[in-house]
Amino acid sequence: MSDQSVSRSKGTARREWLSFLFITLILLPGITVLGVGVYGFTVWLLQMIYGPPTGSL
Amino acid sequence: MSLKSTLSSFWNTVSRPATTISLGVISLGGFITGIIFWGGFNTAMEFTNTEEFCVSCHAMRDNVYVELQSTVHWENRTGVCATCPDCHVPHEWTNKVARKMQASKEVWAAVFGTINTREKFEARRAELAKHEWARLEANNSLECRNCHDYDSMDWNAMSAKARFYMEPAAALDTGCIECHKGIAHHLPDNVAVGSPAMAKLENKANSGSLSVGKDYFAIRDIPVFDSADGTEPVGNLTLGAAIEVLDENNNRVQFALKAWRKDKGFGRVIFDEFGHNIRVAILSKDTAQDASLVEVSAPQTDEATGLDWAPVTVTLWSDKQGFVDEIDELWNVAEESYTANCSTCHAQPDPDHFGTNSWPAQFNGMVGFTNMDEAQANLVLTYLQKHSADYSGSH
Ligand code: HEC
Ligand code: HEC
Ligand code: HEC
Ligand code: HEC
Ligand code: HEC
Repeated sequence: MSDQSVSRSKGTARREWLSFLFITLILLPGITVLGVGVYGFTVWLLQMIYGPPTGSL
Repeated sequence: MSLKSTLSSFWNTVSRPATTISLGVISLGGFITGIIFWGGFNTAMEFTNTEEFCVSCHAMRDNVYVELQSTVHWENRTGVCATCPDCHVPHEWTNKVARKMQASKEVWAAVFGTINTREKFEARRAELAKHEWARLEANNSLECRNCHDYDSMDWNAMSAKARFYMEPAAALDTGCIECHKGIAHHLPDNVAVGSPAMAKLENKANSGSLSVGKDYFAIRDIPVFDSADGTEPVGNLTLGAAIEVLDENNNRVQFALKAWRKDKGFGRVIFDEFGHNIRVAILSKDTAQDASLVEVSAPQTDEATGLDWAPVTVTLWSDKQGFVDEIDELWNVAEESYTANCSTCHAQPDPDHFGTNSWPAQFNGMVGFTNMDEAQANLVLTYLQKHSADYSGSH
């Protein structure tokens, strides 16, 4: 019984650490870069439709 | 383990409070990776904004980079220099990101080598330069003005020529690129050619479908011959010449050109109308003097100049290519080109602001400020002459 709970908490720790590192190192940076990229492409697309940016900011 | 079970076990883990990692470790871990990410992101943005990065592509290095090195923006007395991104990459964040994404087109082109040789680059340069001009015209030369500012210019320290043009430009807040093209790299050779509208017209004219008995107009200089199989041209029709097709023979047509010439010298130059200096043909001396080819009627005197002008009918042969049946199509192209080139510094004058014979002097004094090549300039001038004050009543 206690053996089982230790092995389960070991597995849980492993899963939690893997998930934590995956989220902070890969998933969120990936989403951010993707988001900025999609934003950039969208602006470019809009610039192609509505013309390039004008001088008045 | 299937993808689905991996995902569901992942979801099970992240949707519950952590049991083995403390809140402190999670917060700190997130905070630190956030800082590292932000730093890395900006470093990457910065790095792709350096000259080293731009010239890491040989397409950029071998062509525009070496040219930049001979200009004042590369090396000067004060050591304030402009690098590639200063002029080419927007400084404002949104537009900068958009430009970076746009560069995916460049990466694509680099992979497929659209400009990987000097020849290919030169062939594409006009196109690329036009993109940059369009961008700088739209943002009123914003990138130049990050460094240069009309308000800070000391007119007294400038050359008289610079002052003459730039003081009015400053009052109108005209963008720099309108007048300062080719300041950082060589200008494309073939820049003015290839107006899409003109290309279309030329395609049409080159199809060579002329029928006997109909009227046509020359859209460019066209060599003329004294017989259906003559090999040596005896002169040429010029842009705008109106002909009537009399006969055809293989790829040649015989035409009649009804026009005028001045009653002096050999009469080699043929003009469109009485008293108007608009050329429609130039002939060799022998041809101009040959009564069987050029039939001359009784001259009349032009009161304004005292010159005698004689009506002529020129009957010669030419190839079928180079004519259109609707002259207005040509004038539309000319008008577009006139507006595009002559409205950058001042509103372009109405064509009927001057007379047919005074336009050449007005025009030739200005054409040097534009990118028009000779053919285009010729077209625009002819258009102006044909729509001058002398014609405004009849149009
Ligand atoms: C991956 C190699 C590569 C890098 C790095 C690179 N370029 Fe280019 N660039 C190209 C190619 C290839 C083209 C031609 C694109 C085409 O044929 O449409 C080009 C075209 C251009 C154009 C023409 C603009 C247009 O809209 O067509 C400009 C301006 C330019 N590059 C500036 C830069 C600047 C500034 C940098 C540095 C921030 C840079 N390039 C970095 C390969 C590169
Ligand atoms: C990074 C700042 C910077 C940017 C961006 C910049 N310039 Fe300059 N430019 C200079 C400096 C500095 C000089 C003066 C160099 C000297 O004479 O010492 C100069 C000189 C010039 C000159 C005088 C050339 C000569 O031969 O005397 C012209 C014209 C000019 N710039 C036009 C432009 C145009 C057009 C743009 C935009 C495409 C531009 N500049 C963008 C900094 C800049
Ligand atoms: C109406 C056309 C026009 C516009 C617009 C214009 N310039 Fe000029 N500029 C000229 C001419 C012409 C010269 C003289 C060139 C020469 O001497 O060959 C000149 C010269 C200069 C010089 C050198 C001055 C000197 O005394 O040698 C600088 C610097 C310059 N321009 C910067 C700019 C900048 C920056 C802008 C935009 C803010 C700008 N110009 C807009 C026409 C223009
Ligand atoms: C002083 C501003 C300035 C700097 C610095 C500059 N450029 Fe340009 N560039 C221009 C302008 C303006 C054009 C538009 C064409 C013209 O007028 O020559 C242009 C055009 C181009 C083109 C299109 C092809 C062509 O020749 O017209 C490319 C590619 C290019 N630049 C890349 C670069 C690279 C790479 C660098 C850095 C080594 C650089 N530029 C530095 C102003 C600049
Ligand atoms: C580089 C800038 C520039 C360009 C491009 C330009 N002009 Fe001008 N133009 C000027 C300046 C500067 C004047 C003198 C204005 C003044 O004295 O008030 C002028 C004056 C004129 C005048 C005299 C106006 C009058 O009433 O006497 C005519 C006509 C004219 N331009 C026609 C043209 C035509 C046609 C084109 C196209 C081929 C053209 N301009 C392109 C700068 C330019």
